[in-house]
Amino acid sequence: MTTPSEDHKLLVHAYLDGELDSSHALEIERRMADDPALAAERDRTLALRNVIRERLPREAPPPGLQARIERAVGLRRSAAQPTWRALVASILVTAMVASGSTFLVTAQRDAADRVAEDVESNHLRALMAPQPADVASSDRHTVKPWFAGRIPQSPRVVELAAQGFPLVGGRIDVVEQKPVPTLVYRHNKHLISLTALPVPGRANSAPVHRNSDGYNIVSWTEDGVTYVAVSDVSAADLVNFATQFRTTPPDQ
Amino acid sequence: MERAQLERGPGPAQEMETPETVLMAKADAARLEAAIAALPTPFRETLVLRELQGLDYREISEVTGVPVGTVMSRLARARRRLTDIIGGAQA
Repeated sequence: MTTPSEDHKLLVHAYLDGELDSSHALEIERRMADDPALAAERDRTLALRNVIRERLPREAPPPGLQARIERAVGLRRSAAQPTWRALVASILVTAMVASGSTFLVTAQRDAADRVAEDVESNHLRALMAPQPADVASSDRHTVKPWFAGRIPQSPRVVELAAQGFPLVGGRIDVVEQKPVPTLVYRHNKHLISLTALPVPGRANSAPVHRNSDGYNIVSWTEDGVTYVAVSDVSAADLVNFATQFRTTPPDQ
Repeated sequence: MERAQLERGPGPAQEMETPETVLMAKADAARLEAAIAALPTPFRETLVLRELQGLDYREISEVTGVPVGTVMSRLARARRRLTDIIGGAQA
C-alpha cells in the first residue's frame, strides 16, 4: 500500500462536503475503497461531523447581537461582498466560540504569505477541476504560445521529462488579483504547480523551501520573475525539481 | 454543478468504528467548544461556517475573502487538528 497523497486526502473532505462533481466523486470513492488510509480520513471526518452536530446545536442569536452585526458589517475587511446570510453566520460563529470579544478577521498576512497561500489555493482548486491545466500538452512549443495570446508575459517553459518531471500543461491563475501563468508538471503520480510572478527589478534569490501543513512550497527569483512551486511531493523532490527547472535550458 | 449529486455521501454502512472515532463520539460539548476555540482564527472561522452554519465552499469564500482552494485546505486542517485533540492524539 502506498501512502495517499495530500491531494487525495483533501479531496476526501471536498467529497464529504458535496463539493466534487460526479466524475471526481466517483474517482475518490474508488480510491477510498482501495486505500485504508483514505477510508480512515473519511471515517475520522464523519465522526467529527457527527459529534459536532450532536453536541453543538445551532443557537439563537443572543440579545444585542444585531447591533454588533451592523457594527461589524461596516468594519469587515473582506473585499468580496458577502451574502447577508453568510455574514450573519460568520458573526454568530465568532461570537459563539470567541466569547463575543472579537468580530473581525484581523490576521494580516505579509506579501510572501499571501502569494504562497494564493498559489497553494490555485493548486488545490485545479485538483478539483476536470483538468489541472487549461492547455494540456507535454510540448513546450504548444504550451508557451498558448500563454502568449492570453497574458502579457509568457513564462519560461522547459521540458523536464528526462529528469522525471514531465510537463502536463499550463493554466492562467490569479495571484493577488492578477492573472499569472502556471505550469503544471507531474512527478510519479503527483502534480506540481509552478507559478511565475513578474517582479521587475527584484534581485535574484536562491530557492527557499517552506512547508504548509502537508504541502511543500519552493520559491526563488530569477531574471525579474519569482517562481513558486507547490506540490505534495517530498521537499527533496520539489527542491530537485526547482534545480532542474533552473538549470535546464529551454531548448534542451 | 448538480447539488443533488453533490450532496450525496457514503452511507453509514461504509463507516468503520475505531478507538479514535469511538473516543471522538464521547467528547462532550465543553471539550469540543474548547478545542474549536483553540483553533487559529482562520481555521475556526472556516470550520464553524461549514459545520455549524452549513455554508458551502463558495459562500465561505465570500465571507472570509479567500479563494475556494484555501477554504478547502483550511477546512481539512481544522478538522485534523480537532480530531487529533478529541480523538486522543493530543489528549
